[in-house]
Amino acid sequence: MSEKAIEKTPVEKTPVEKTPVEKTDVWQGTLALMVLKTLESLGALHGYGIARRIEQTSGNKLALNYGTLYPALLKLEQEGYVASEWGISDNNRRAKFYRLTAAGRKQVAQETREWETTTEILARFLELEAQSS
Amino acid sequence: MREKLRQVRAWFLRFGGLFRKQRSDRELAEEIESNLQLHIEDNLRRGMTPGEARRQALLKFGGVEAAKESYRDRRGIPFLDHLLQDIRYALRTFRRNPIFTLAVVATLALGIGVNVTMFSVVDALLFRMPDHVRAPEMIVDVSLQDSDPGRAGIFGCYPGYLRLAQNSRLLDVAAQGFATIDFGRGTDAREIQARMVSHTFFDVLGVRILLGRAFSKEEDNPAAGAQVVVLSHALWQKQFGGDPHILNREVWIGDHQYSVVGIAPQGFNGPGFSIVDAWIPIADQPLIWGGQGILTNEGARWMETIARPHAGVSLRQAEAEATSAYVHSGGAPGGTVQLTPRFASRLETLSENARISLWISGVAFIVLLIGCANVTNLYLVRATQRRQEMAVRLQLGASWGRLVRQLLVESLLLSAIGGAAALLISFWARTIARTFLLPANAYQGGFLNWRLLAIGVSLTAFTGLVSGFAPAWRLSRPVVMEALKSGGHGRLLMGSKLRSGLLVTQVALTIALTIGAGLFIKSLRHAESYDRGFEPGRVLLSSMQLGRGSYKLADVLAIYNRLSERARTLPQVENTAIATTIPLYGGIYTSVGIRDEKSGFRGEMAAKNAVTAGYFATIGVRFLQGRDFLPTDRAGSEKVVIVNETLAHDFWPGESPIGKCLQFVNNHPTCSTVIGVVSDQIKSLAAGHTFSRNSGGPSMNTADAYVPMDQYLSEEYASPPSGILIRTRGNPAEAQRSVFAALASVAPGSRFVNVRPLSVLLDPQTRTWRLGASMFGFFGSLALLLSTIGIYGVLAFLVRQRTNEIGIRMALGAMPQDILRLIVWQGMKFVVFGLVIGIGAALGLSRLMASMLFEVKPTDATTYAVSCGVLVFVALVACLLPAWRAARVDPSTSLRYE
Repeated sequence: MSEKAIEKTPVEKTPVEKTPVEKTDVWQGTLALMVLKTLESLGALHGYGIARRIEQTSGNKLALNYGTLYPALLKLEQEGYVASEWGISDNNRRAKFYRLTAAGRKQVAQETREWETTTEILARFLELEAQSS
Repeated sequence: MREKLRQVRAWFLRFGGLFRKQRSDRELAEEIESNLQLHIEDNLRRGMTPGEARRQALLKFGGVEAAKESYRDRRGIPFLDHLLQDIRYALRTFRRNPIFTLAVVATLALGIGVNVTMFSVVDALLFRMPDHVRAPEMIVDVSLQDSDPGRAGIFGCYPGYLRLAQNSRLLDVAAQGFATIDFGRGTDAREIQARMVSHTFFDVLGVRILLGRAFSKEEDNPAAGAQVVVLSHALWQKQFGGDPHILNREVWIGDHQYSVVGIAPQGFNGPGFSIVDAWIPIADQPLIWGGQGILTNEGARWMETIARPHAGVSLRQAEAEATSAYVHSGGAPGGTVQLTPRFASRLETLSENARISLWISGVAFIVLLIGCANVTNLYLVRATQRRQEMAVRLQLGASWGRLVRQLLVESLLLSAIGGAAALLISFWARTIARTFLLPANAYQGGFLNWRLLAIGVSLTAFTGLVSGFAPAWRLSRPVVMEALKSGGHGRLLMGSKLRSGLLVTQVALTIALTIGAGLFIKSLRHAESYDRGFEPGRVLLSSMQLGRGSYKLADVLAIYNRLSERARTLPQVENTAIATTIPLYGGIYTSVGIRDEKSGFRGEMAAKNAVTAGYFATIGVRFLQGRDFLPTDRAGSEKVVIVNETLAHDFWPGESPIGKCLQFVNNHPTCSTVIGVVSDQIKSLAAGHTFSRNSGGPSMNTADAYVPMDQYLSEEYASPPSGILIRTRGNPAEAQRSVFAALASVAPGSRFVNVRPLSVLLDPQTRTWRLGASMFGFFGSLALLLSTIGIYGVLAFLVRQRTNEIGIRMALGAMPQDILRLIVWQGMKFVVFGLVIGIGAALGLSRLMASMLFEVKPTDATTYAVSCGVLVFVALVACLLPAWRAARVDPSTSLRYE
């Protein structure tokens, strides 16, 4: 049974409202890559920092619900691409810091390659359409 | 691949996430809170007011609870999470209804328990492989396919084995012969089951000797055989207390001293399933059986050859190679060696035990079904009580599927508890079942194996689903819920059609079982009271393992005579006699006949038995004519014979045979004068088992010819006497001990004397019926009990449901007896319906049982009538109790109650 097929009984649980963006698989995949890439360039970061950084990198074109980041981080941690530990932030606040593992580094490289290939192929198709019209 | 591993790792972590929730929740809350604070501080730095900073941060975060929820879904496995929830909920429900829970668990534990027990027996008979044998499926039986029956059995003799063992390059070959020998001396003496085996035996089977070693090649040399023995673990424990210094101890085996060289691992019985106590080199065969020549005799058939093909060699290759090896080593051309896997399917050739066990397993399964029906009924009752709860949950938005699942989890959980209890029950019950159903000296083995566990688990899942599904389906059906919500509650009968169906099925199955039990009980009664023409009840049988050549026939007779005379001095003993064939044993069949002028020689096969005077009086056979043997009927005097009724009738119908000449056709015909006629003795109750008479058709009677022991022993092909028959004055079991003590005191070389009641030989003959009667009887009673509870439960529930209606009826003038009739009929109409179906089923099924019955037709009217009577009576009682309560309903209270 897939997770989405689970029916929740309101009696026992509060219903979860999901944003349309979050539901798409592409988004899940790209979010993971964004997180990994951010960690690769900046080293250890807490969740809030990652979210801010992603928004900044996108030139504020992406409006991210910060809350969606935590399940994504948990998934990456379960897969062994990131590791987390509690630490002290710049402004002296206890926070959980995430950093890339060796496996995560490899994963970034691989996914980057895959994305490049995909976008390259797509780009060719888009060009093709422009020519024919 | 790497991806996959990551996935697996993630699943493991998620599985772990099902537990330690509180800590993880706390940590998440802390993380979110700290990140929010970081955000707020940033916002403050940008000049927002504290309130605004917090509001914006929360807005940006997008729903803390939602984030936590999807985090939790990712942390654990939602499906399992819900399952755990359901299980916890179910356990709470059970605690609230202990009686309901106990009733369900007890019923299922009993039902599953008897099935697991029966399966453990079937498993032992059909699927168990011998212990300690490496890759037992590779062990083959070696036989020769040859048109000449004389040569076909060549691998049953030692030279045949040797030929293959020495010449085959693709087979490892071993031989084993059977021997019952006596072990020890004096008070410790006992009879043991031994195997005479080749030195290759343990290697071919791949068994590791526990202590010491197996035989060497030199010790298995017929020219210079060493007297060495490997003992079984059980014998070592029992006879020597597991003495660790047992090696090189000298033990008595028959007339010889053997040195213990090894102890076999616990439970090892060679390539078979009956208990073996010791192994000795096959080259010692002459020491055990006495006499020379059997080892070199190509005509003897006394052992078996087994083999294991080398790794990677197919059976066909091995057969071809073995055939050429056999022929090249001097075997007769034209024959082909056949290799048959020894432990291949035992399903095709069912043993008698396996056949009975399968029948009983089927019966046990029926009992389980009846039990399931009761449990379903209980669920339905409870479902009616839980309508309110379900309605609320549905209305609050719980999905229908989720409710079905919740209810199924409850029923599966109950059957799981029942299943666990069932394992305990069958652990206890298996001893009883196995004693009844496994061959007397079969190795019982361990209790739990994966097959048994698999059956237990499947039965548990089966009962959980079968008993729980229908109630769950009905209970959670939205239509029903609508009906409930619209206010009709109290009146609605949950699944009344289902209930009636269950009731009818229960009654049908029960009557079928009861009829089966009745047929077997009647068979057993007939078999046990059958007049066999003699009285085995008061006779003891005594015998010794006196070899087959180490003692001369006259010596054996002398020993038995000595024992016999000693026995006769005891006050408990009335009479004794010695015979070459013990009553109930097969017998030595010879051709006998008469010669007359008209038709020349006319003969038939008869069982020949040499006996001493007093034999007939000892076992209680009636003389019809003539006299018993006298001491004067000895070797050299006129040859005399006593015949039985059947033989007399076959040769001299309508006239007295006394004084007539009966010819025994051996190599040269001789004439014996008939001096007496005795009544027939039924040796076996299995019709057609013995030689059929001229009258045609199978018969239990055989033609018997008795000759005096003295005259017989001078014959050329005489067999030694096989034992003494002792007629006791009272119960033979009571005299057994003193007879044994007396005989042991005069036994040659203080060797073991076996003394046992003759009736133990009868038991195997009535076994089928005794088993059928006890097992069908047991399961039939169980079924009857369960059905009664079922009928009672349904009616009691019905009465409670209809209290209101009954009140109205009574208020309108119905008399208590009207109500009684109404309720009783309500139940009995299903009972009658079930009876009709069940009798139909019994008529069909009992036909399959016909071969297992004795002098009872599968359609025996009395049995059917009595069974129906019993069931109707019990059902009536079950109906009357609730009906009586209904008839005493006080209309005013019942109406007000509503």
